[in-house]
Amino acid sequence: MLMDYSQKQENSLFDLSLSLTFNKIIKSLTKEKDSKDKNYELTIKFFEVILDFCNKQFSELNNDFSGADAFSIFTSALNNMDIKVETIDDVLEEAEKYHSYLISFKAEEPLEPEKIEELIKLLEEINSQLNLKLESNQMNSWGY
Amino acid sequence: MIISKEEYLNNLLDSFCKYEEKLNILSNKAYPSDIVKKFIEKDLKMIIVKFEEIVHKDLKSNNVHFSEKTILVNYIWDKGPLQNIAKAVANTDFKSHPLEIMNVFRDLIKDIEKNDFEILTIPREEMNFSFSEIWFKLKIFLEKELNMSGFTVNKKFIKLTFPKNQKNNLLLSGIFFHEIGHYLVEENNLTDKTFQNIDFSSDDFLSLKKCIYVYNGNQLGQVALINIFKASYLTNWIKELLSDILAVYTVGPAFIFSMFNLVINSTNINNFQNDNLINNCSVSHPRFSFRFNLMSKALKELEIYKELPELLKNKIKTYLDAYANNNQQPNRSGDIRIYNINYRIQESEFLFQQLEKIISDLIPDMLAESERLLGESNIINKDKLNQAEKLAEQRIKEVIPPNELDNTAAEPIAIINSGWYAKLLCKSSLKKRVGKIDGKNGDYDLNLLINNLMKYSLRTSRIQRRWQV
Repeated sequence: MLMDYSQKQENSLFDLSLSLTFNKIIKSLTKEKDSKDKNYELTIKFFEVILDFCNKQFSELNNDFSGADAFSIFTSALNNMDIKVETIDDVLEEAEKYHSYLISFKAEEPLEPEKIEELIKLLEEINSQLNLKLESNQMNSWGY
Repeated sequence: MIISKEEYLNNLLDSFCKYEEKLNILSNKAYPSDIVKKFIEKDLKMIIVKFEEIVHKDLKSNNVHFSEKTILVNYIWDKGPLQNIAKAVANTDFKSHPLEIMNVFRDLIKDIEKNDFEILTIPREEMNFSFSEIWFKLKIFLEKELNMSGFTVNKKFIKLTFPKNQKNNLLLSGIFFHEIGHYLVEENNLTDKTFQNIDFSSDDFLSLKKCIYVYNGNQLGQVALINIFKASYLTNWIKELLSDILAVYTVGPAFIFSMFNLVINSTNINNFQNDNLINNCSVSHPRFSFRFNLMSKALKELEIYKELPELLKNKIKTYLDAYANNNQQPNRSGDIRIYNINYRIQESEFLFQQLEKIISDLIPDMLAESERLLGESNIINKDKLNQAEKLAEQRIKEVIPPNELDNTAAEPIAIINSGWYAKLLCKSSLKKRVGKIDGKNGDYDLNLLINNLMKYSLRTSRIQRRWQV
């Protein structure tokens, strides 16, 4: 029957939280802030739920994240970066790549400057997708 | 800038002060549970005072830009969760809440979630049932992003709205179980779990491309198709169908008969005369034909369909047949924007059939997930249904409340179903027995009698169960 919209409002709080996390890690990557002030875990989880979604797995992570949402945001960000992903395998490959960058970064292993730049660009794109999601009302102009 | 930072912040502060004023008024109201009062006086007050502090600090600073915290606070305020909570508390009407059925929900959710929670009931004028959590996610967010601590209420607040006019209509309570289904689906992320099980490489799924037009020459590959149907149709339909399954699994035929009742309410007189039951689907809901088929499949899966009296089986079959022969609906087309790409979806019988086919493949998983989530004790079974039939036959038919059988307290789910059994199977006997049910008011007096007997029974059987343990 009719769904209550409070659920949607609360889900958007989670998106905002995610966006703030990305902001922190972007600042950390660009060394604007002390590298201790970052939240790797949530960002890494974001990529893990995408990997889970592509591999049709459902883990405990999904209690916080929607795999389908993360998949959708990630692929839109890739599209904005002109990285064409047509199939789930393409997405899997890209998600694995960025996931490994983040794991290296977390372990404070040196990341090549191009990779850091690539990661920053992606996180910025994801953030703009999240902001679009926070602002948008996706369905419009339905008619017979 | 037309509006200065100072003006903007002053305006925000003004809203916060008004909210605080409202909290003061709300804290003077009487509530049956101390926790609601404490929640208003401590937690909500603490949040708004913190918001005021943040804005006030920013107002005093010389920085031309808003502080990060002000931006955050402004965002939360704009999204309205705090206002939503205050509105729920203000509209809560404990005097008119459907007490008897509320206890059934309370016991059910407590058993599934194993956590404590508070229910705020809100009567509404319109035909609207809803069930949602309004506090917990906000609390976690404030703790994480604004480092707030010391909240006194560490449990969920569930907002339950119901149509005022149907407060005493336990025969419609099956609909509530569908709404509780939505709540459980949301809390357990079941839609996501089901959606990702779709075979996105199957011909059925890829054939949906035929129904999509992509603007600006963008590609329409498998990934885009997933994103389109995640945002429309498939995820929404999965949510509805999972909620239907959960309702059938908990309350069984009583949900299906409540749904039939809603169908009567929403069928206009011309369509009724032509046997033309509206069977349209939308971006948010699948067709009734598909939903009723699934409900009957769920009953069969539980092996309780065959336990139903012939008359009730026939009733279900009649509705199923009527909808199966009615697939006419106007085809619409509509634009959808997935982040920054525009698509146009053209509805057609082909689209609906493909979507139904895709979801049909998921149904075994959906049934299994629902079973796992509810746990054996919360799923309707042959015993509960047989009890319902006996309660109708031996108690309601004799105008005795269906609160017990053989000195044992009746199960709440059996009581709810016994009402429908009595209404559909014992109508003429009850009419003969109770002079007042003479048909002058249609079924109104019959429904009233059955509802009163059921309400009494839900109350007393609960007490009796406590004594039995």
